Amino acid sequence: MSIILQGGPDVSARETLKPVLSIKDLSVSYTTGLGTVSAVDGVSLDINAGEIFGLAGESGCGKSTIANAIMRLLQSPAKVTGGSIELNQRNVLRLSDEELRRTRWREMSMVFQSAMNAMNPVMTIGEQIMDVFTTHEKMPKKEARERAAHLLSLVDIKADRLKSYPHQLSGGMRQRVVIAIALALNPSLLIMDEPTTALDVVVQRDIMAQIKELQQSLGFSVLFITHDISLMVEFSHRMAVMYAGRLVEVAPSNGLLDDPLHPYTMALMNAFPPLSGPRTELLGLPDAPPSSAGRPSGCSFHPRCPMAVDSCRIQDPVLRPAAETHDAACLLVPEFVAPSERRAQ
Amino acid sequence: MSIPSNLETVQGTKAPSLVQVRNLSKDYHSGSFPFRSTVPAVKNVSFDIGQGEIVALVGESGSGKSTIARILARLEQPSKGSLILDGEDIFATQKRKASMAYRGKVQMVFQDPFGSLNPAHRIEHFLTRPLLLHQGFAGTNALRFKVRELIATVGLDEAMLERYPHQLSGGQRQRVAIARALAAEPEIILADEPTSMLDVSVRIGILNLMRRLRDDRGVSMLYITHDLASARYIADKTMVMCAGELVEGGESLELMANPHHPYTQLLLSAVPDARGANRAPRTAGPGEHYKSPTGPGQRVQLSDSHWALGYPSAG
Repeated sequence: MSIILQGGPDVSARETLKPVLSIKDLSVSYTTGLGTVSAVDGVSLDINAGEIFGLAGESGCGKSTIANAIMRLLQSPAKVTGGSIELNQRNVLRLSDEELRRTRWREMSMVFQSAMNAMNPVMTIGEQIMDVFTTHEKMPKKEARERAAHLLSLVDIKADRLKSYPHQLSGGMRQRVVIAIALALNPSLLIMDEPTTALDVVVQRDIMAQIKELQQSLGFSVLFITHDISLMVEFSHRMAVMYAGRLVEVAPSNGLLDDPLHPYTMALMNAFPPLSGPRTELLGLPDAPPSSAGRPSGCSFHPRCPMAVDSCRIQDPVLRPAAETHDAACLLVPEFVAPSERRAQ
Repeated sequence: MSIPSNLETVQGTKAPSLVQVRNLSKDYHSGSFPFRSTVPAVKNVSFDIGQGEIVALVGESGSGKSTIARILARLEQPSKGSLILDGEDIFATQKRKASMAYRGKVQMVFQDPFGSLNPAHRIEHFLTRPLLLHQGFAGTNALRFKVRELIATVGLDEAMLERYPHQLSGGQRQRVAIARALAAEPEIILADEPTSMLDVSVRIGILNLMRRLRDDRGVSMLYITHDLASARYIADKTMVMCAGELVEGGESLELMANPHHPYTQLLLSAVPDARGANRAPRTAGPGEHYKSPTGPGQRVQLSDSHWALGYPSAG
């Protein structure tokens, strides 16, 4: 387990550190012809300096909406309806356009799932990397080219590739270039939305290892979004599981692996058959059709939950501590009371 | 039958091979003279699929696994080699009747359940059509009964028949696609990445359904995937494909516990496995018996149900 936490932030120092990113009660909704749909509903999370924070969940749960909200990339009909997003103690949602332009790339940058779509097909890789330096740093071309070559070397791509066009690179190489571009101005937060989903496992393994290496040497924080919970457990220090627009469980990754508390997390863990041991029957979750009626009453997971009791249909669970560093939003999980408070009672 | 077959069912009796693929090759051509180039997508592939057997074909994108599925579905003509189903060489006859019969016996389930169902039709339509085409159903009552039976087989409610594809979730749509394949009463279903576009929590449900169909109906399946763990979960046998070649094959559990070919080892080590610490230690790398007289490109039989392709050794 020590391997997983290697290079992570010191847990004891966590209390005193100001988080790089602090999201409080963020709500985002989409306005459609049939009414408003809540995509993100009161999400709060902190990401500390040098931390890799994972956000896991299935399609449509709102994880990409959170990423886009942080980058202020949400477009109508999506709208932030409440809450705040503080990046280095400044509310991103209140920044003027000019301030936002300076903040993006310098303080936060994003890697998208499809690298092919993120790059301009008629510009060489070099031009696209140099673009960052010339526009954001007003750097002379010669210096920009040197910096671009250096960046490529960080992701193990030879400098002669600067003259290549995106289509001349493999999928994995393109994704590396996109990561290099995202890191160009040394941001304090890197958001990665399903960065390796379109890639093969062997390439995925290489890229994730490389990101981890860069993260340790450069010290940026990562918000890592994926549906692949086993990849996330291996890669992130702390993670949150999201369901229907809310966080249902937040814990250090190894804690979540050893002791998942929310039934949905357990189901996700069980969704990946093991590569060793006896072959046992796994049970998936019942399928949930898309609903136009909005969220179910009570706990939104109860229609698919194998452990649901009557009160789950009525009472809406909130995210609350279940252990010292482990939060869960489930009625069946008893609330954790800190030892100090226990004595006071 | 001169071809030796190592297919044995759990009971120990020899199962007759339903499908025999022999020396199958497929080249894709592009460009025109003088810039004509040939890309070999599938190179000299041979394998068997037994009655009621689930065989997984794993490999990375571009390894040629989908090309094999397309050839088996007769969507593509192979450059070389033969495909024998029920003792009949399929590519030897070009008759339309034989082709129809083949398509009734071999059905496909595609990767994208969003693209494989026509959005303008109700679910009932997808199940009625193959019954009319392949099964010669005419009586409306018998037809209706059969459609209801099919939808229940894949674990969906009758009420779904009235719906349109967009009203169903991805998992439900994939179940409809499986029901549609079953409607033709096929002997084998070719499932090309049937779960890769579904949410992780419903994938297992589809895999369980595939296995149950095999157990209850004896349908054989070729399960094409890049996910080794799911291959291990449902497939009796697994074949690993790399750059158009089958590099290793065998009983799934044995192959994954004891991978021999370097490519299989690489693939297995790259799979994210959160419980990696508990992963069984690899009993052996390529063993001494592996550096056998057969050189690169020759199959080496490692046990009754496990073989690997020889490869040039580093030394």
